[in-house]
Amino acid sequence: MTSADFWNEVGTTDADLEHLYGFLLERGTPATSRELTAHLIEWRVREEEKKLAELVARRAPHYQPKQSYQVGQTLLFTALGNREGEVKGIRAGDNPRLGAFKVIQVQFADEPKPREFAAEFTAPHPLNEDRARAAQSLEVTPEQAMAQYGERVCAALVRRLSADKEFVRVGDEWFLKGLLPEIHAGYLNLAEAAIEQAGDAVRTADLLKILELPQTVKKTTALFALTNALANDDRFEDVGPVGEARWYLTRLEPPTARERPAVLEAAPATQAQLSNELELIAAELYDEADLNGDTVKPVPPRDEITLILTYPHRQAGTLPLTPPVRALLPNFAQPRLKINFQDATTQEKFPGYAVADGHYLAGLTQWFAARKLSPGAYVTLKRGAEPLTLIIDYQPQRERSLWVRVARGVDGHLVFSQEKRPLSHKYDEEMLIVIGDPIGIDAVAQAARQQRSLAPLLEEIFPELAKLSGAGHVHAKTLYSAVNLIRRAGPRAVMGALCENRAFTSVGGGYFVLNEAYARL
Amino acid sequence: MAPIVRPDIKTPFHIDLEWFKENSRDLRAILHETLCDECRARYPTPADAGAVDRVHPQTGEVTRVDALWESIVDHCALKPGFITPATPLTTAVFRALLANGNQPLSCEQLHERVGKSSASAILKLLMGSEIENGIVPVESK
Repeated sequence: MTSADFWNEVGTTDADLEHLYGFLLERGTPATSRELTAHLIEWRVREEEKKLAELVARRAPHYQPKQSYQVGQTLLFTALGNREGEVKGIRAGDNPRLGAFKVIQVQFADEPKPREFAAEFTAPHPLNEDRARAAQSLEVTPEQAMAQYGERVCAALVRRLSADKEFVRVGDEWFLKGLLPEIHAGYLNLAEAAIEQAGDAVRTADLLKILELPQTVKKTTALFALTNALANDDRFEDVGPVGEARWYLTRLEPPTARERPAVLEAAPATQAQLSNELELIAAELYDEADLNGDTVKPVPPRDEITLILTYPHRQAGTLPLTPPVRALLPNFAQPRLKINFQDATTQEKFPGYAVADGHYLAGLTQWFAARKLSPGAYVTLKRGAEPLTLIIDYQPQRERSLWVRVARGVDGHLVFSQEKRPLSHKYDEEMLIVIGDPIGIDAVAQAARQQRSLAPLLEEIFPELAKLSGAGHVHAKTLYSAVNLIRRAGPRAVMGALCENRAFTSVGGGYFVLNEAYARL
Repeated sequence: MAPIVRPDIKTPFHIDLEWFKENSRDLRAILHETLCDECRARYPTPADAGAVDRVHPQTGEVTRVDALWESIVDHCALKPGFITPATPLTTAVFRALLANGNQPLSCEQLHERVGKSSASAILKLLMGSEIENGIVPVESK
């Protein structure tokens, strides 16, 4: 067997599972996939070394074509998986091209007929080199093997363990089903009551204290068993960060945390190549719709980020969970992380959720409404003193009437006007749009969702916005904010569609004008 | 009955030895023509080349094989002039299969070994109206 074959096999055999079964039985506590892999590799390396040492101890010489052999001699064939064979006969080699050499007949124990091999064959041949003896050793320590093959073995082992009914997995830990203490329905009912009473997610260890399992059960095993029971009961959900399971009741989770609000659903967009200027503008908008459903790439931890509220998030009571926002929170691998928002001014705390799949933070409907925030408002998130707390803030200002863009839905079309409206928060000039008629806008949105392309929406919205500006300029951010009143789209998708459409011409600074030639069509 | 599958660039091809008999072609004469000068001096005619011991290049195991095949696989094919850019494509493909001991090769693998044209052009050549040098898809047997 070659070294590659050997390492491909480790973690896949019945003997491997049997050995790990014994290991966990003796250990009495769960072990991680990595611990099991390291243990298995060490065992297999030691076993293989032992086997090879036994072969060496038999003192059978290794077959090398250049050597001469006698009838009755036993040889070890390293190129045939270290099989042993006995020399039964010798004849002269017959090949004028190769010159003089001998041919030995070798009988292997499990074969009916002898096979022939070259001897006294001095021509270059890989088996004539002394490094052929290396096959006697794996030439690797368990630690080196773990570094070199650990990942491959671990993946194979996890696949094999997952298919075996004797092993139970919780997170990345494994234990034996037969050794799990029973967590009966009564315990789970108690856990449900305890979580409801706490009104917040509860750590597994804290639930364990309440449940008072028999003293004979080891704490780590009890934690594993309880985690396994809670994970397999639909009433409970782990909403904690990596390494700290925290259990909450699914029936207490708000619908926006369980399912992504329809207003946040964006169609997959082709990622157009933007100019550096537009790329910079898009990047500063931190919109999760630009992720296009891709896996979130982690970014370095940070302490604060300021976002500009968009209409879909204002409606859903959510904020984008882009990598820079996620960097304010502890790492989590579950579908949801339960957090607390804390108002920076009042210090009032209220529950929220970071939802991994939808890339959004939920739980802000009332907070937005109480502060009368319009799309375009600045919202700041800061890392809290506690890891699961996010401080939320906006930029209040004395309420006064200002000339602002107001959006309405009229006869199935989105129209804009400049009106005096009271505002009590600071905002991004280009993004601010006050909603004049939510029902009319909803009606336009219904129709806009049927549009397959952004281009006709932009061509319809652009003149409406251009008429509010003396020079007919419209900023890319204004269009992005306006499009999102009726159709969810990321800034890169909007700006890409804007650049690709010959009806619009960039005039720099993120501003566009309507191309007169197209405007007349 | 096995389904008929249209060969593609991954389909393995080999030299059908029966084809030479059926078409009254002398494979051994062609093999002899393929020998390098040194081997041709050793075996002046095909009749001079009988069975010889072949030493396996990895295991050292000995098998009895036709001396012409043995010379081509273990000696002539290892020389730089066996397949050159000037070798016609049909000959180059045939020689690549000879060099591989007639172990099947796909058009992709043949392309790698002959080092010219493309896998799809080789496929087109081998699937032409006439069978060239008995080279056929393995499945067709």
